[in-house]
Amino acid sequence: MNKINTIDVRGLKHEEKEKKIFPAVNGLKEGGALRLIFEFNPLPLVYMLKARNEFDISFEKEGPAEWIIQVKRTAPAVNQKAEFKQLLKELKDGQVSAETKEKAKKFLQGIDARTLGAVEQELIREGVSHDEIRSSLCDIHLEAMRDALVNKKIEVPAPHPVHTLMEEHKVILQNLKELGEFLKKLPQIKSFKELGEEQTEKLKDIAHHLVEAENHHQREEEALFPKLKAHDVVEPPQIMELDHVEFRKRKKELYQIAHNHQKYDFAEFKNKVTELGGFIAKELESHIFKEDNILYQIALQILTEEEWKEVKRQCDKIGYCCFTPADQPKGDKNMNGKIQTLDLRPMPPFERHEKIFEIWDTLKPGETLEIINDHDPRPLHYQFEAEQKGKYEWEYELKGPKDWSVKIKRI
Amino acid sequence: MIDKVTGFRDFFSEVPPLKFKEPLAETLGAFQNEGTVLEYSFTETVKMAGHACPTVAGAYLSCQKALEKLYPGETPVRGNIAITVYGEPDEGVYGVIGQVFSFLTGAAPASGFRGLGPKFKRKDLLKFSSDPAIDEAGKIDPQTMCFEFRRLDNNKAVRVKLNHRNIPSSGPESARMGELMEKVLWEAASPEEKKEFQDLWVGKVKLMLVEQKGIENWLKVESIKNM
Ligand SMILES: [Fe+2]
Ligand SMILES: [Fe+2]
Repeated sequence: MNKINTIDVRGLKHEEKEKKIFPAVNGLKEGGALRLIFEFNPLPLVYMLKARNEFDISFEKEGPAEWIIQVKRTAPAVNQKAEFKQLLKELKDGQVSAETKEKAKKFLQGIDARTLGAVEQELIREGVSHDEIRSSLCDIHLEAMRDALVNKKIEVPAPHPVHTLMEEHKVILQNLKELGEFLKKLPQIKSFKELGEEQTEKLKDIAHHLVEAENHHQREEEALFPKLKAHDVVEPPQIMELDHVEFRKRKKELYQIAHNHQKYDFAEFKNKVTELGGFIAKELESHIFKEDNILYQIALQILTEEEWKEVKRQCDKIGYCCFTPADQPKGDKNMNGKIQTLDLRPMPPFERHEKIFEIWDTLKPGETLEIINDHDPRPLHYQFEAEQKGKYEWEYELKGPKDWSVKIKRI
Repeated sequence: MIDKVTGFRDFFSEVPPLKFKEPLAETLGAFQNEGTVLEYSFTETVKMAGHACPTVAGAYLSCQKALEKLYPGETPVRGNIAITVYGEPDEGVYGVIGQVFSFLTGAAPASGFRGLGPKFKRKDLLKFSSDPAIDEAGKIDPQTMCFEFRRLDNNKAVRVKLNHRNIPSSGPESARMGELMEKVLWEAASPEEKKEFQDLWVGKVKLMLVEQKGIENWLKVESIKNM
């Protein structure tokens, strides 16, 4: 058997990690393999490599202190630089066909930031502007990541910060829907009189809710994004931040027009509201979709429980929007009564089940045992199903990838 | 009304200043005469904070009332007062309150002056505590902000409780202020609305500092039994 090289990138900076990983991975001969050791879950990298369709990737170890993956080349390498240049040329030539877009998506799923950066530099030297590259690639890049993630969408219960953000998204989307309906009526209307006071008030209300959402974006930018960046997920939050800036500009203008419509003649009012409102309705909706399906999903997969607690604390400090749904406090209506928490992680595995049932036997109806574990306690669920059927309720509070927590209520 | 000298609203100068001895300045020869007593005015506090608001006013008053109780018939001494703010510096308005306390009393956070030899240490005299403030009866009131002032020379201490919700203001008035504030911040307010907002805003500050309306309901100073 061939000897497998091991590269330990623990403790290295993002850039240094890439410098070690990609030349080695790219240099693998067909059938060759190598092993990589990380201090965190290298999921983004795994997706990236998988998308290239040149590798087989398997986890040899998944945390909690280190992650080890094995990368095996199953197909020969393609010339990424040449392919990328060709793609960009096609993207630049105005009309982008669905086929080109699909090709670009496939390609971006597989390229690493370093190679991308190098090729970009080359193109810039050849006279392509940085903005041009970015604007033709950003959306496709995100779309590529979305496809990798959308199938495994994770949802989390209150009061998890992502739960709150997603609930707020629902309210924002509702407001955008109302904005859309307002915009649909506008073309037929010829004067403020015809529009009527009720509708001008409606627009003020919509604008108010749009600016009220600033605080939601602030929580994303100050509490969540820095944590993602600390895990080397840099570009996606950056793109989201740029979106926020674009929205803020237009929200402000729309707000000003809504509140001072009397200063405009109607045609001008109509034009501006249609333009600004149209942009916000379309782009903010797509922004929210990307967050729900890509950004938050990446976050849920790579942030630790400890980091989520920190995110929650930060969010609490920043505060919430007037429309944020109230958090259900821990132990809500169907989960009230005393809760005992048992952290299984520091215990040797053979003691865990025994300890759980020791506490379970002391619980009165209505009381709950919350367990925290470093793997999915599915086997335990089977045991409960077999031995305690009808006497318990099983509710996941946290579903990995590092820690799992379950509330088991005696009924 | 505008104060011609400072440019601030007239009533700022009606607020009595806090008086202090400053042994550090004295030792290093900053004064013409020994025993100089310094005045720290509300106007100066506003200059430091960059604005006047109910928080700044509340902090100013808290400090004033606490020191009256800690130094009856005496002049308080800067650098001789340790303060605990029950809240975190990046939480709500606690950071601003800490700055006001620091400006007035000299009590500084970790970034403060180290001292000269054994004297004049100002750093760590201002502390933020995330522990909940518990009153004599052992109760926690999350609606109330709580600060402790302690004299370092005799270890006497007082606890100040500040509850902005109990400051009398009419409901419609605060709703109007909220509405106007959003318009002002998003630059959609007319000059009249801007003026109306500013008058409402400053009106609340004046009510706190000058009229001190119903102050016993929103600002309480209690002695703490010596530990
Ligand atoms: Fe966002
Ligand atoms: Fe969002």
